[in-house]
Amino acid sequence: MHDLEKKTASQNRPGSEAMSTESLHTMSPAELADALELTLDLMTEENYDPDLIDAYLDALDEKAPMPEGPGVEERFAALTDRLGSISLGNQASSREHKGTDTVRRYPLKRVFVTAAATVALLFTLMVGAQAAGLDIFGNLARWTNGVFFFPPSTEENEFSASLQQALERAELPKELAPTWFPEGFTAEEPEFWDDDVSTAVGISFVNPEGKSFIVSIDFYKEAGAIETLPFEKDAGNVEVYISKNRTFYIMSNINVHFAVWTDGNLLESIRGDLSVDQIKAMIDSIGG
Amino acid sequence: MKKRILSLGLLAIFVLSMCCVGAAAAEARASSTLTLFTASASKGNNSGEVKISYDVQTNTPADKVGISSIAIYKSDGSYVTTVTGTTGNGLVRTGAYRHKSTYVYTGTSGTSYYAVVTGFATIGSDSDSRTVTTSTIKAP
Repeated sequence: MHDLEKKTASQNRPGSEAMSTESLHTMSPAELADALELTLDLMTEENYDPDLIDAYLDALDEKAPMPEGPGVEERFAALTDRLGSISLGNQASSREHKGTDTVRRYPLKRVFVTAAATVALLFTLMVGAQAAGLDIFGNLARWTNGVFFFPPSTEENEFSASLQQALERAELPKELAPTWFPEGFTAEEPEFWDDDVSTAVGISFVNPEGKSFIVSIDFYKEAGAIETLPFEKDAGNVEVYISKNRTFYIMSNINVHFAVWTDGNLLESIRGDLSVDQIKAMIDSIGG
Repeated sequence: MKKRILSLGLLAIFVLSMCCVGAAAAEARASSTLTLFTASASKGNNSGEVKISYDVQTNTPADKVGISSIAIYKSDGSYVTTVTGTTGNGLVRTGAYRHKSTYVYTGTSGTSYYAVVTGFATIGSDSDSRTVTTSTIKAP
């Protein structure tokens, strides 16, 4: 490299252009590349010599010419040939015109397309599984979402006591009554039903803004009756929420949320103008 | 060749998956007023009676909730009669979130009947209904 520096320095002295050109032709491609780099480093704005630079480049091109690739027209023709021969019967003609370097020149693009297609396929399969009844998204939501608990208040304990009394009167388990209720609501009088199908207790709540929700507990007298109940819901996911060994199913029906739980004969539902977090807080408070 | 077969296979899986999603979307029933509607028929306590039990539950307290009509048919499909729901005959409630009761139809003893029951709920300007056909019951 020391000799190369001397040679390059001498070539860059004024008046040495003729000798520089001859010297360049005696140098190997590697030496030419190094000399060109060194020359560029030594040149300043004052002594910049474009002819010398061109001489280096010409010498390099002579020693190690760049392979010529297909021009724009040739590449376009190759692409149209590939697109026009998708059917199996045209495989032979497509291979004739297929650019051998088209795929290899863009490996990252191919990887990206493959990855995107794989993700799209997996997502589609997950949605299909969800539609078939497997609550994949619900389980994922349960693993990643936290739960916010509102602090209990004394007023809501009165609601719980009223509902518990109603459940006792209907000979239904009073421990199914929630002990937490959203603030600002007042409770209506509990209602009772008893017929051949079920015994039921229900209580509605309303606030000054006109928002309302309902808590009801049923005991179905015929085994298997609950399994045929068609709860209306929109296309949103059903969230499985487990609290104190009770599995509630939380879903939405256009403009309301509701949750249902059953042990086969008993059915509890909480529905109305409630957020999912409020429903979960009520569920968590069931049984005190 | 293998790549084309793989591509076609992936495309087929994609299309089939979208069909499942489409079918599920078609089955999802949502209602702006109704949470649940069921109806069933059973033998009455007296001769010729058939009990039609129904349960209409709403998303929030409704202006009106209940049964808009009960159409009675014989087991051979021949039409018998229709009862229209009103607050007067007890098939409709106002200002309630649930109407659960039993309508008793008195027909001919030994004759089998079924009912086509329509339940509804109205909340403000929204109203929705559902129809259920009960099983066939032989009147005692």
